[in-house]
Amino acid sequence: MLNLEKLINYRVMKYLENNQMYGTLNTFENETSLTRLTNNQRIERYNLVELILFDPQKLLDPQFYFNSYQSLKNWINTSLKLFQDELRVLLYPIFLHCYFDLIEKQKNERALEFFHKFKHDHLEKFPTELGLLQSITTKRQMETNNFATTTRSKKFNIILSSHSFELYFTFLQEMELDLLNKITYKYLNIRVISSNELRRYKIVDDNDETEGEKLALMTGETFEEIFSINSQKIEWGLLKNCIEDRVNEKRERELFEKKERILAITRKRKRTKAKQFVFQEPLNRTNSLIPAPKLTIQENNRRIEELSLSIDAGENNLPSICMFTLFNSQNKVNSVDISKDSRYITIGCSDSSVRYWDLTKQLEKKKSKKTNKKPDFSKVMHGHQGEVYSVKISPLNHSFVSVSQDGTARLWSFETDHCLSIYNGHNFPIWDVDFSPFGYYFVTGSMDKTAMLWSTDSERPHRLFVGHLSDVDCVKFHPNSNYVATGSSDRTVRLWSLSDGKCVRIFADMKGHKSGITSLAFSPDGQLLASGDEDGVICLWDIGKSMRIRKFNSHDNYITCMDFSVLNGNILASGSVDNTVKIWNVELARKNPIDIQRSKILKHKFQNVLLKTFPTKNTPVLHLGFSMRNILHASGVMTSDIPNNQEF
Amino acid sequence: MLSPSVIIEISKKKEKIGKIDQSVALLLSREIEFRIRELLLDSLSFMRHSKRKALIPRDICNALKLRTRRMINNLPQTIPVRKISKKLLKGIKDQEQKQENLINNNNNNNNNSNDPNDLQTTHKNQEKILNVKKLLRSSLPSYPIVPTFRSHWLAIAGTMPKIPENVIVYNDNLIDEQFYSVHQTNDFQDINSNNKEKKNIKSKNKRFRKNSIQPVIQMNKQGAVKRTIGTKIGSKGTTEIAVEITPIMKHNITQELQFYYDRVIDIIHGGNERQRYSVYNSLTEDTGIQQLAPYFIQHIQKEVKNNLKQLDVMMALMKMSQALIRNESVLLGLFLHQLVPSILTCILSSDLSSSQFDDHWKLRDFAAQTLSELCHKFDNYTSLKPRVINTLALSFVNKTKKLTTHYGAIVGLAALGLDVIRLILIPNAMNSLQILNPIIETEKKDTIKKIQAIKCRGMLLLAIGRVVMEQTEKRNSKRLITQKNDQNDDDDFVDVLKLYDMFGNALDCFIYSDSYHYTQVLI
Repeated sequence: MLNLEKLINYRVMKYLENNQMYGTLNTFENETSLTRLTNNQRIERYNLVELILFDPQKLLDPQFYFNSYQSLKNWINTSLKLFQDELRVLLYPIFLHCYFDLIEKQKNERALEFFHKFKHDHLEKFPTELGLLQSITTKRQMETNNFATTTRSKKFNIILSSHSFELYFTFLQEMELDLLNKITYKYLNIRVISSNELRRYKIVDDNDETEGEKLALMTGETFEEIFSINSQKIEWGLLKNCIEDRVNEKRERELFEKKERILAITRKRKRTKAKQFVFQEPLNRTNSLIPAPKLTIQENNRRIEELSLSIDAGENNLPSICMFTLFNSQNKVNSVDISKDSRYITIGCSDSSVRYWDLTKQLEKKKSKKTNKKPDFSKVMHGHQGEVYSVKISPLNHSFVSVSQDGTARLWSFETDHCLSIYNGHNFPIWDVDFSPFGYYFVTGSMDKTAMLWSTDSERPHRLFVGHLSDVDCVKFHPNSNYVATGSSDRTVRLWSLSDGKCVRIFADMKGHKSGITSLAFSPDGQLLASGDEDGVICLWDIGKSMRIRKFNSHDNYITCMDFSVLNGNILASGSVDNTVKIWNVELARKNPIDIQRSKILKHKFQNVLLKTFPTKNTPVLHLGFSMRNILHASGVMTSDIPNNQEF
Repeated sequence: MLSPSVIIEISKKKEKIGKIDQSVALLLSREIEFRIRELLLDSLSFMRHSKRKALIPRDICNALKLRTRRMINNLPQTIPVRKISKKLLKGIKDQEQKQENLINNNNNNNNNSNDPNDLQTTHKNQEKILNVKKLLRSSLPSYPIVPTFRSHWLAIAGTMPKIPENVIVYNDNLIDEQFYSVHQTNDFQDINSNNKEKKNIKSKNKRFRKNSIQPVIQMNKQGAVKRTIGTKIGSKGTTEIAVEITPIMKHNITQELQFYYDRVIDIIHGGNERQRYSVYNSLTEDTGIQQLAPYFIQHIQKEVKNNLKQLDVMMALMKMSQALIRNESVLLGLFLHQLVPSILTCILSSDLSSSQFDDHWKLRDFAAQTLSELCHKFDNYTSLKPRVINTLALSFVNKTKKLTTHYGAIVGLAALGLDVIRLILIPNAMNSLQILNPIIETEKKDTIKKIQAIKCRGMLLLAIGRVVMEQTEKRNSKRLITQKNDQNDDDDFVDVLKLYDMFGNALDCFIYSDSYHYTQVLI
């Protein structure tokens, strides 16, 4: 570390050098026995500590913040178009930290002035954040606010190409903007990548229908950490001997036998031996990493039977949609779930009750044609002490789990109509729950920024997934039940391994989601993950390669639910509060974007990923799920503008 | 958001707090704003997880609960916040108004009245005081409505069935193809290269046609059916169905549709204006009433015959038929032979009202408009428009018909477009005026006849004026382009001088398209 005197001497030398007073400089050098620093050395010496030591008075002057930010903005606006997009990302974090610095230094009035002078640069992209920022005016408020503390304690991740990074640093040096230097050093993680890598990013971006602006992201990890997490190997394949394989085997065997029967006649004459049917299991099948009770043989057979009856959905074969519209339930029903065999419908209500209908009983009633026509009342069960935000039926079809505002999850039985157990663990409202595809385990996501893994027979959580910087809004089990995906309000999606509870993927992209994640879905083969956000944008991620392959952008409001079609997963259905169900062509989106770039004809076809839109009558879609036979179940709450005052 | 002066005023009111300094008030207001914004963000996330689009007070209560603050209990829980705030604002404004009135009254007496802004800035919901005894004695509130559900098909193999539960989708290629597969097949091939799908649709089309034919057969005997099918299929080029005629079958409609039909007919004949209006709306927008179309048309035909002299019934029937024509999902192609005569009756009938002073002109005008809409919609039936024009033209030329019929013919022809006016009205205008002018000039006893004649002439003038106006505009624009002043360069143009001989200066307003003149003549 250099002492203060030396630093001053360096400054004087630089001053002399800049003003081309070389004679004086030489004598000064001789007298102080210091040598001139080269440019590179200077960058090295630019340490935060030195800076503060050097000119503390200057940093205290609020006007300095104004000037620094203004000059950075001007410089970016006048720089080459090629680099403008990359460099503009820097503005928002620097704006934030300038403002927070000013408040920390108790210059409240100046801070507000700063905010109002420069807020228009960011108002479009971050309306909610700026709204909150505007109201934070004292240091004490800053300390209590979640948003402020996370931005101060975590670093923004920004990708810059090597050239623009050099430009930025020489700019800082030339203009002597020590302040920006300090902020960059303290609050930003800048990752410099080569132009080759950047090109790869660009190819992915070019396939998007809408060119979005890049945004700085915050995940809490450095780039190196994210890279090492994302480059871990993931066994995303389905389990060995899984139902899907059995169904495929059954279908192939039938085809084979048909062929054999035709060939048999000719073979008799030639007297050749008949071939044996061999089913080749796909290579990527894995073992289960967590102990779990196995499915019973009956259950297994039932599923295989149901699945083999399914019709493949695809571009030319759009699915049928059965819509369950809920009436008298505006502002009352928060969540709906329909079981895969379409037997039960459960709803979670805002009056803290859960209700369900058994559809088979209703069918029986209709068949028997009783004269006294009573309306079909649902079974009502009470227990929660707050609004129920999500319900999920167990894949084994004998119970369902509900999560509520009171921070508990409850397991309810269809057979006894009673609460079976209560799971206490979260301290804040729980937003979402999802069952493992084999039952037994379930995962909850809460407002306390964590997700928890539970099993139905234990009162305590088995795993705690910590890492998100904001609420965990949605959770989803991977089809092989070894992983869990969580989506959060911090605009990132994470994938966690159940065996060790560690984060194995962070899906955060500068051009990905621009608002909180509201819904998640895995493709049935486990390769793709779809995530929907508050703006109605859906991103498709490749889990193995840990990159974004496609962005769907057509919904007007936030997405409530998504699901892939069973078996082949060629179709993604998404539902939103904008009263529509949309069907997307995943088969096309799955093709390698780089290949498509090469042939223009294919690219033209690539545009039509949206297969169809189905509007509903004033019914926001709350739940979407493909049944085992590939019929899409949708459900929503009929709404009207006329308020209903009656509480139930 | 919140100005510091508000806080000072609040402190003024509540004497316990005492006086507050300006700077303290500023700090306080900022603190309050911060807290409220935080609260709002929280409540928005509660709203999102309840999967709603509108923020309701319950969300705010939840956010308050989260931060362990006291909840607000006396607000309605499920009304969107925006509506409540509007109400509150209105309440505040009312109070302000009262206050101002008070001040105005007081000003005359003493000048030391309160600051009028005092009440404008804060609002408090008054809490009601309830009497426990009364509450216990009062009857229980009604049982709350239990949530129920209903299922329907939103899509069957990718296409939306047209049932009342589903939304109408306009401009959807698939649906258009299903119903109007007349000359769009070529375009459709380009859009949808998928053969399988096309085959599907074709087979569906067949099914659909068969279904829609059935009711006609039941009501109309086979002769009529054969004819309509023949004309319709001819243009389509598929001969399969023209040969094959489905046997007479019983046409079943559901109980709901039956109820709907009964209700519509009741209101058309007996309801008030408002009910009728909603019926017209329903008829124009509902998707599931195709099955009822034959019954409606039959009803219109029957009632027009029976109620020839009841103006309001006739008007309602015409509005009903207009609504049916406007409905995109109802196919009237097979019932035109029943519908068009009824409309023509309303235009041409000599006596439409019991008293001659009634405003039957309005009905004729409206029916003519409906007719033009119908002709426009069924453009592809090439024989429809010529036949309609023929009927109207015959009664226009016939001198023995009554003047009311004459008027109807003029209105009907005028509504069918400029070309019709040019080809039929203008060549025969002289003959018509030869009858009308003597009546207007000489008739003194029969005022009704005189009025009728004036009406006829006015309508004729308006119709011809439209042509003249369009012509002058065209010529003006042409003159602008070519800088020439030729009068007779185009054969298509009507000889205006000849028309001047007929109508005199009344034509001026159409030639000099000055809005002032135009309105004067219309009045």
